[in-house]
Amino acid sequence: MLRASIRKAGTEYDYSAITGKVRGDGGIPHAQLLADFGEAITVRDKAKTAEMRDALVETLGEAGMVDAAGVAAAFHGNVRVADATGAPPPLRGDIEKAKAFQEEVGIDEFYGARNS
Amino acid sequence: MGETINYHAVPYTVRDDLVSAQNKAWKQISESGAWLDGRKRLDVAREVRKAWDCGLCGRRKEALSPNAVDGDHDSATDLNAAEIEIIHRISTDPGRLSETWLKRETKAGAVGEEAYIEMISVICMVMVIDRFAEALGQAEFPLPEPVAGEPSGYRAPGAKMHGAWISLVEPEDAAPEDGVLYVSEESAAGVVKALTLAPDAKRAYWDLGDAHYIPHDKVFDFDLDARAISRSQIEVVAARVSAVHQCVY
Repeated sequence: MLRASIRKAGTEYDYSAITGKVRGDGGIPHAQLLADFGEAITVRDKAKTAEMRDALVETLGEAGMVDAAGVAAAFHGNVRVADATGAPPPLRGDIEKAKAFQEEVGIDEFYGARNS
Repeated sequence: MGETINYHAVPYTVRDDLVSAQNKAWKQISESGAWLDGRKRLDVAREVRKAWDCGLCGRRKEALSPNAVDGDHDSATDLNAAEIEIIHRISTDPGRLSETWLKRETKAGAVGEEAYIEMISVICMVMVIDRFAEALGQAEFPLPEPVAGEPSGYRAPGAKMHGAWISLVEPEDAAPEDGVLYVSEESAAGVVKALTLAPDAKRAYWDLGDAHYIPHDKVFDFDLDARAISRSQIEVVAARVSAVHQCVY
């Protein structure tokens, strides 16, 4: 979805930022701040979450911060639905290209990828 | 019904549709499902919360493999050992679940496939609401009281094994008595199919999830402008949260 949304927007993004291999916004405004907010919520670092929340309200506005929190919360559920049921990853189109992308981003290093 | 969930205590305005979806989900958790009654569904919710300070779960998270650490979970209910293991592992270490683990936990028959699916739905609803509240600095909402009622025992008749670890309903196998499982071709992604064995559990979870993310039948509509952040910004958050969870999907 991220790749498709970026293609649609016609912008640039270093996908290895997803796994934290690099930092930066690329062509997506405030991408690093949004990613840091999502990570702070996931690891339940309340101080960092509060810090990022304030920063997001300042940069994206209150509604933007709330919607970012909503997406982060939703994916706490979505990943568990997928992981608890063994739903096959949607590797569409060229499987070799998809696997190369997983390697580039670092997804191939995830426990589930190494053990599947 | 009075609203159990509101965000009056935090200095942020939360969309009405999102608050409504959370209140609807909170009520659904307290009511009988197809395989678990309201009391048991609330026990699942209590264990989701307990898992975060469970000593065994903490030691397993630190271990190279969760299978290397034995022991008993710290529990908050009288659910059986398999149920507690399932709830705690899905709550705290979902990226290292495996089909072998699932088969081991369900082999003795203490948790059936249908109850397992419904438990996932409840776990995920609690997780979404609790993490959203925490993200805004809001304390956990008290769980509702259980609503009396008997589980319906409904299993979608078209559910079969299709390459996942559990049975699910492909669009062509959906029966009229299942109700609406898929609103469009786009809404039949693997992760959306995953809970269709228990149709009400599937709808309850995705109604809540959609209010927080975007409606799952609109995921391929990249022109959709339904949130205060752009689609690329939405997907950055989603991708980072998934990556921290080590989610391959």
